Amino acid sequence: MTPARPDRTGLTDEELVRLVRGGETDAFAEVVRRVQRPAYRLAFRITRHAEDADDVVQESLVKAYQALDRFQLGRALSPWILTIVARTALSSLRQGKRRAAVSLDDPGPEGQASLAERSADPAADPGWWEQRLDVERGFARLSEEHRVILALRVEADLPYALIAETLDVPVGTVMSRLARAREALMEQMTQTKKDER
Amino acid sequence: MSVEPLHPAPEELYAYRDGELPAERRAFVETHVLACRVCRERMDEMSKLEASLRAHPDTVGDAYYERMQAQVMAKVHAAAPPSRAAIREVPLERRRDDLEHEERRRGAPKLPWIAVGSAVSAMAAVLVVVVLLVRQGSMPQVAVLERSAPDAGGAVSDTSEGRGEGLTPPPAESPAAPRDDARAKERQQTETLKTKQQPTDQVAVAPYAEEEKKNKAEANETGDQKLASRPESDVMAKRSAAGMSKDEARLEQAAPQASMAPESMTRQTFQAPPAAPAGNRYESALTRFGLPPLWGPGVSDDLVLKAEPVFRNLYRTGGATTPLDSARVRLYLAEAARLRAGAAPDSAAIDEIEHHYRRAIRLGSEDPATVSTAAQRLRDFLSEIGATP
Repeated sequence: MTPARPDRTGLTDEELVRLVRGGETDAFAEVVRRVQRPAYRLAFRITRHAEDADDVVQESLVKAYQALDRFQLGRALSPWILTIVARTALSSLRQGKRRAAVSLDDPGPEGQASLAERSADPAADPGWWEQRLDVERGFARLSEEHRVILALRVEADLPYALIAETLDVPVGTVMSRLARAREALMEQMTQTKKDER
Repeated sequence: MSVEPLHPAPEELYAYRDGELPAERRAFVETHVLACRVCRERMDEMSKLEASLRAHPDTVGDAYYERMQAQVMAKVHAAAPPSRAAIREVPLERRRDDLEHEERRRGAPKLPWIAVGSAVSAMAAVLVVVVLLVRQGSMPQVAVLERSAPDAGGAVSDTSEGRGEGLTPPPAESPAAPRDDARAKERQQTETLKTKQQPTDQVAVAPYAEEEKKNKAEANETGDQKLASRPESDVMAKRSAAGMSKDEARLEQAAPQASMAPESMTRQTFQAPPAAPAGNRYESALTRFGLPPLWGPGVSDDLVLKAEPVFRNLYRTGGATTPLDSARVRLYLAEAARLRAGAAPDSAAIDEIEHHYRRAIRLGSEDPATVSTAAQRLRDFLSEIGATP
């Protein structure tokens, strides 16, 4: 009979890192549990494909495990892992490993409803949900550069310095590129409103 | 003739909103935003768009994540374990490349390698002089210098090679000492952690808890000392009056990611020691504002609003690293957003509030009090705005 895994949900990230470094590989499962959702969302935003995002997250988490000794204790673990996810996703894009991007109206993985259908909560104001979908569509029309930087800031909530490190650009470039991406998104929304009239 | 107001550049406006604008520009933008309806509307519009992006539903369910966790762990078990040796064996040339890259990233001029070469030559000359002096019997401490020399060159070794046999233990200032101490401490803490997972063995947990407590106290002291030694500008003093500057300043000092300061300050920040241990900043924020660890109905609205910028900074910089602290930060942020939004929140505010409550419930899953408080508050909120809980 397989012994039950110890409950590690009460441990801090730092304690988990120490355990893994100390040879308790199973403790990494709790790290995975904590970061996989934001990691997947970020990877999906960058790759725009569920299977690519899945590959990227799995690869990134294994990389994070192998590089865990480079993680500086005392700093937040999640942003560190998210930067690995972002780099892996960008590398996947550059290597042309990507599949066709998924649109809002494509079916979800495993036969789930499309993103548009799942977003349409019947209990909520239809105008509000429609606006959410418009924003998603506007985001999908942005250039790759703009989508990536918005994903890093908005989805992953990374500070400018970590975005700079991830994209290998100065912080000033992050500031200006992010502003341009935001303006572009705003422009997309304005255009959508005009088209609706 | 009306004069067109001079708006800040979009990047400054958004950086201000993100809490990433250097202090010397923050005052200008803040003053402008308070007086300029156009800029405020622009920022509000962007907040709505971003809230909408964040609110998009997960495209996969819990079962998917469980399967992913199992797949990742299978790969992890098959992969080589984290290896310290691999990190130490990075060739000098590669480390120099990294350093150059880091300098370039910070916008600093390239490291003058000729000057470094001269410095190394000078150090070698000094070493020769010292050895000569010792041979003459005037410097008995040379063993320490000789022993620390390999580390100074960057070649870090875990073996006893180069340390010499029968030497006295290195003094505290030797570069090898803190590293060895840190390794021994880490090994000891790992052993303690292994026992910590067994809740019945409380005696075994105690030393680690004591250690952590001591570390936290030291970190607090260091942070306060640093803060005290840093002069506050008029703007900072004004923000202090609003109950927000000290923690922000501490975050800027402690967390490299918060540094958007001029180059000299940036360099200083990068040289600073690592951020305080996880959880410490949350506790420090609570102490500063006199707030309980878990928000409750008796907590003063004023205090929640005053503490909000600090909690937002913790949230953005990942300062609260334990899931429970993160959950409680989210709960405070939701409450602050509700207070700001008033009786008729707009869609962006609703998104934000709902998002924070839901995250608080998810992140606080191991603490029933946090989950029930957040869930109850979310139900109350949804019922207040006429949505179905």
